[in-house]
Amino acid sequence: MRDYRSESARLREIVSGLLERGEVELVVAWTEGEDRPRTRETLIGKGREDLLRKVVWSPFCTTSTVTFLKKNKAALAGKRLGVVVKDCDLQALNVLLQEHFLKREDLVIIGVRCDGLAEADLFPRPEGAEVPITSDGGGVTVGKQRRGGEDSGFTTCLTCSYEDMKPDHVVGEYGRKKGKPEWGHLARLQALEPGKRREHYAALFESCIRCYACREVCPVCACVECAIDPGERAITPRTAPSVKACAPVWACRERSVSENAVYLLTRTMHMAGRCVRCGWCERACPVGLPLMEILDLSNDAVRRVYRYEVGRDPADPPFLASYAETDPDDKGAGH
Amino acid sequence: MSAIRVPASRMEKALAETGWRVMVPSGAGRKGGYVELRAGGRLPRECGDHTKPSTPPKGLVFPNNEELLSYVLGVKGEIEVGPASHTMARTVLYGTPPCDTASFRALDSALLKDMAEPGYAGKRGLLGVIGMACSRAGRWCFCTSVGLSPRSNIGADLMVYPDGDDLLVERVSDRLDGLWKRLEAGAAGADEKALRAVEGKFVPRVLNFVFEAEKLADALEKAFGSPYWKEFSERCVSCGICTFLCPTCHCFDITDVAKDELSGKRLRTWDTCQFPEFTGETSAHNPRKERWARQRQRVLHKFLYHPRNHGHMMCTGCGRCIRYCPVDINIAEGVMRLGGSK
Amino acid sequence: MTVETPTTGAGTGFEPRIVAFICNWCTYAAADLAGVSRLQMPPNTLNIRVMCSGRINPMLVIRAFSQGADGVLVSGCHMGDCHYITGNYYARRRLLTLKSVLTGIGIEPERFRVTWISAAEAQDYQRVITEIVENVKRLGPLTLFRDGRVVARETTGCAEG
Repeated sequence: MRDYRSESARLREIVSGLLERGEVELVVAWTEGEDRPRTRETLIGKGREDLLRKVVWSPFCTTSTVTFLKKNKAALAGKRLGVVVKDCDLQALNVLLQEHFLKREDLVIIGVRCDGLAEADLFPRPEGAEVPITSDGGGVTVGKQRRGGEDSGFTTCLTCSYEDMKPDHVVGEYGRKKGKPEWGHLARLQALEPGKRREHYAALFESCIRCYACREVCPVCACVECAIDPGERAITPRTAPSVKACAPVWACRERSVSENAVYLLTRTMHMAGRCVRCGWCERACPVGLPLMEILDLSNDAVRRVYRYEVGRDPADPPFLASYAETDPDDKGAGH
Repeated sequence: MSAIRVPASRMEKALAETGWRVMVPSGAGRKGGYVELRAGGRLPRECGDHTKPSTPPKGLVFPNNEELLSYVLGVKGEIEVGPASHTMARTVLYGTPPCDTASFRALDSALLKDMAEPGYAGKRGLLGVIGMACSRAGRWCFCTSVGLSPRSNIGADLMVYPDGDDLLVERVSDRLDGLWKRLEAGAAGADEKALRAVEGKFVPRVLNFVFEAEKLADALEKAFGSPYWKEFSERCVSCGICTFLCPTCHCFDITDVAKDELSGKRLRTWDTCQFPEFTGETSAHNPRKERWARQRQRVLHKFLYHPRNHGHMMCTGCGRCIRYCPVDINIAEGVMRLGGSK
Repeated sequence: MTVETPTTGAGTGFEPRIVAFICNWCTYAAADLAGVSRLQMPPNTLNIRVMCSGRINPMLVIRAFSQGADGVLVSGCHMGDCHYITGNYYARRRLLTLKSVLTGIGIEPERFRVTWISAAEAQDYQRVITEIVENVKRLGPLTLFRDGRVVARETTGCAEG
């Protein structure tokens, strides 16, 4: 059984040690929020020592510190940073390092071994200052309530296979063996005949409100100017009007099946070989779209057909920026 | 009388007799929404945070996709512009909790005051709102902090208080008078005592903060330059969920969509002040380039600018922005730090 | 929600619209050769010449389908023969991953083909074009992206190759 109070204490020791010795200027870690057991990514450093006491590690660290890094890249540039990462976060970090988005020498990586996350809002709000949070191989317990498996609210964690983190510092021991589980949700969908599958996905595409939350929370969706409906344009006052006028509109603002599908399918392709299956896009979606049902279509091909391990090592070549002679061909009409 | 007691089935029958479209909250949370009640369907018997959909009802009168006009280029070069019909089926929205009911007050003052916005006005004139008292607060609710309560009838045309198999129905405005008269005929009156008695079932949650509208507005104005905004927005990812799910937010974008070289339409879609490009200008200058500037604007719009312009806070305390924010940013927490009082 | 209306099968008069992205050095040359050799093919393809199959952004294929194409073909040089040495290798990985996603959402595999046809292989070009048009004709129009709109203007595309 894992006791997250003691693991958090160990984490705080490591973080404060790094700061005291000046090995890092700032640390990105999770702290307890106002609405426990929810947590939030926080920047710890000089002048924020009071937050150090609140640094926490638990199955409720459900956001990604790598997303924090990507969103605050400009403000944190040139600073030596510590970052606390779960397994999927470290995978995402490796993807960004592969693409030279971040520099390894700027980072001290503190890994927290993760057995799977749980949805804080499903547990009763704990009273009192110290709340025991523990996990066994199958579930998470807060005080007296235990939830496991599908009831934990985090179905992507159930099919996580990552357990090989090699960070600079590490906290915790794995409580369960992850292995390489089969993705049952895909099998059920793929067994449907094409017409039924189209109906299923058309309903999904239709419900999207194009808030782009999936893109913003994703730890590896880090392009400054997104190819699809950019939230931020990489232009300056010196950018020529002709350049601005010629920027293609790949998906127009209309919320319709075709435009929403262009957005969702393009994002899926841009995530091919980069998606670490953290599931945050699906959890964040305000209208509850089962986004992993689209992303896993490419994740499955990457894993099963191309045998590529996403985010295994910063020195690996990115999936779509490489090829192999043994890559399969179109099997013709029956592929 | 201004209040009557009717069995809930009577309300179902009366609504069915009007032939209007009846929209009800269906499903709670992310998978829920305001949907059309089927013929013969059962009206919701209670409402609360546990039955509240993630999407608010504003989409009925302020849709995410709205055609403003269409155009066709003729063979001789003439342009035919087709106006959109800013209309909809006559609709009753039934069973909204006070936080959603009150959203129409904010939307009406923003979109109808001085010069009515045609798209909104056309639909709003065809919408009647039957609000329902709220029986269960959620962990993120704070309607009582913004001058509302589980019994508030602001924004409602009729207000219902569920009482077992009965409803106490209160007439708040004259918009649904036809329906009211149908219900009133032969119904038992409900006096003040009865109304107070049933209201006692809908008890506000005790919260440890109250926002006094004017004091808060002044405090936030003074805090414009506070460094706290940066801390508040540090982990914000500008996803816009807070504003898309907010029942009172109504910013929009207008895009021209060409179907082919000869025809197309002008479309209005929801936009959010949280997107970086919301204030992006053609010159590439962006007065709200930083996330903290955008979050500050969101908070001030709700608790300073709208109250100063319209006399009420542009927040109904529904809590959706707090519950669904993927990075746990809490607007109430922020406001408390800067100007709320205990 | 889109509703599938049965318009499949021969004799319904359905003419598929196929967008074909063909690489300048190999498949486009093969198409040319097919043309001058008077090889007969159904005229349903809208051919778009690109310099290399590696240029094909998956968004082009997705957009083609969402704008009304019933089928899409991408064809380039054989592996090892790419005019730009490695372009087709990248294309193969990228487009076949895309194909997994598209078939996953219910777009039949016959609708999206990725082939390698060299400049001399005019008959292979004829065969691939004929195959894709006949398969898609049999499957019917792709309605997944239609939103209930009627696609503007039916065209028959190029008359020859």
